[in-house]
Amino acid sequence: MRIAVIDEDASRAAAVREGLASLDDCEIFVVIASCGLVARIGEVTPDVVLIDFSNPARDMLEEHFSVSRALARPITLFVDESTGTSIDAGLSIYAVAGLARERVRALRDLALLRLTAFAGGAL
Amino acid sequence: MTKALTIGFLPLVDACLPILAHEHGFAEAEGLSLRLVKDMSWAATLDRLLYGNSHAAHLLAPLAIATTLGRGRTAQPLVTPFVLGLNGNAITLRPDLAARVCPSGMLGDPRVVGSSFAAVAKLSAVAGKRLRFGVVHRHSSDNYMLRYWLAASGVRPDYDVEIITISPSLCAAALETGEVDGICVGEPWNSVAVERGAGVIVLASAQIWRRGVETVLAMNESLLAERRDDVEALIRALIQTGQHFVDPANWDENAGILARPEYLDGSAPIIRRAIADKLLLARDGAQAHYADYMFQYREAANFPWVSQAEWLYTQMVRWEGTGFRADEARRAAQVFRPDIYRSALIGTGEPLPGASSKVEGSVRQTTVVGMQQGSMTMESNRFFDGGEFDPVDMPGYLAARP
Repeated sequence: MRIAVIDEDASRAAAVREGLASLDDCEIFVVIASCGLVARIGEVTPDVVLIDFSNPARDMLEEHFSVSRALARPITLFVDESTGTSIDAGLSIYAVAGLARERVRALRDLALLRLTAFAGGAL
Repeated sequence: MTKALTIGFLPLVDACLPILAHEHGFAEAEGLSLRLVKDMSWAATLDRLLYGNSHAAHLLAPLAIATTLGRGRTAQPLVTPFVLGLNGNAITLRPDLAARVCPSGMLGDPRVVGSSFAAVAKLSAVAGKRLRFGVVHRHSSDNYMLRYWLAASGVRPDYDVEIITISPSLCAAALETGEVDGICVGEPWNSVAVERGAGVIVLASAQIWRRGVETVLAMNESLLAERRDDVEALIRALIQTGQHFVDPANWDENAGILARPEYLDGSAPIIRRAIADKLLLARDGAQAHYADYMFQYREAANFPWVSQAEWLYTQMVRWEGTGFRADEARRAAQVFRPDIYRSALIGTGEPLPGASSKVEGSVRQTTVVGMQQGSMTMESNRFFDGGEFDPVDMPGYLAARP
């Protein structure tokens, strides 16, 4: 599974990356800059994208997903029916169609753990 | 006891009414306590609204319709009982491109700029370097107005020119770095590009459609049912704020408030330009006055005309190539709720139109219109190409467009 971690804050992105390192069969790409972001995501062709909720580039990212991937493998916002989105934790997740929800949940929980620790100053 | 309402917004001048309703106490006087939550993307504002993190939002009118129809997100019915403003967007081009298509020091004539631009755009396309525009969202009036102007000028969007999405706060930078050749965005972001010397404003959206709908106050249909009284109180507070907003005596103070870090986090003199309809078009130029650049109050500007929702739906169909569907058109029309607007303002001094729908673009001279309450004259609401939109025949309207 290819995972892109997008965050304007490089140290927060690094913390999330470290948190996901324990996952099997995952390749993780960190993208920091908003400039050229869409082109970079186009190269990475991720299965899952983790992006900080408040990143101004989200509209550009969603547009990219709807245009370039719409037919082949659509990527949409991941919403967990039981817990909703992770707005309060400041995380948005996009996942490719067909990916097992359990896998997305597992990596979301790992990322949230890291983000909470990061926000609390433990990292 | 005051009732709390959380309202999401993006840092744009047309988020002014909810912000100022809070700051000037108009909301409090209606028994409401507003909490304003700023986001930097429409995706974030929309998510807050859809997943219960906010009660209402400053939202692009077409995005409210698209969400209701299930485009981009799982379908969830949104409603808007109040339009936050008409127009207020502009088209800003790279300075060298602007010099080729528009006389300097003034806003151009949309027809003339359009035909000059068409010639340049075709040359660029032939040379293998298609010109590229940034708009704030595919489901935005910015996108629809730009495309309307391009198409009526003989430029085929997506063929002769490219149109991509850029968030408002990133527009000036995209112009500066050459990622795009032009932007269509709301204020203060055109003026920010001008200040940096990255762009020259060539057209105001009000020149393309004199009374075009822009952002709206959007909420979940369920919230409206649960908190109907509070929503109506909010409408009354916003109307009073609009009256205050357009009074020149308040422009300096309002620009100062909007410029604060928690709101637009910008420069008060730059924000004031849009409020006063006086834009600096180029960095070294003079300010140009264009009446009704932004339109926040007069002529029942905030009334959610069903015909405006229907026009937006035709543009969605036109540019996404999904084909007109009568059931979708009906659902799109139901997003705009003039009944709630009326219910909130009946018995106040505010004018209430007698109809809920009109032929858009048909008013060519000042016209007295039939009213349920009060009196009102409407000035021109023309499209620049003279087109008229009669919601009775949407497929016919679409068939007649390039």
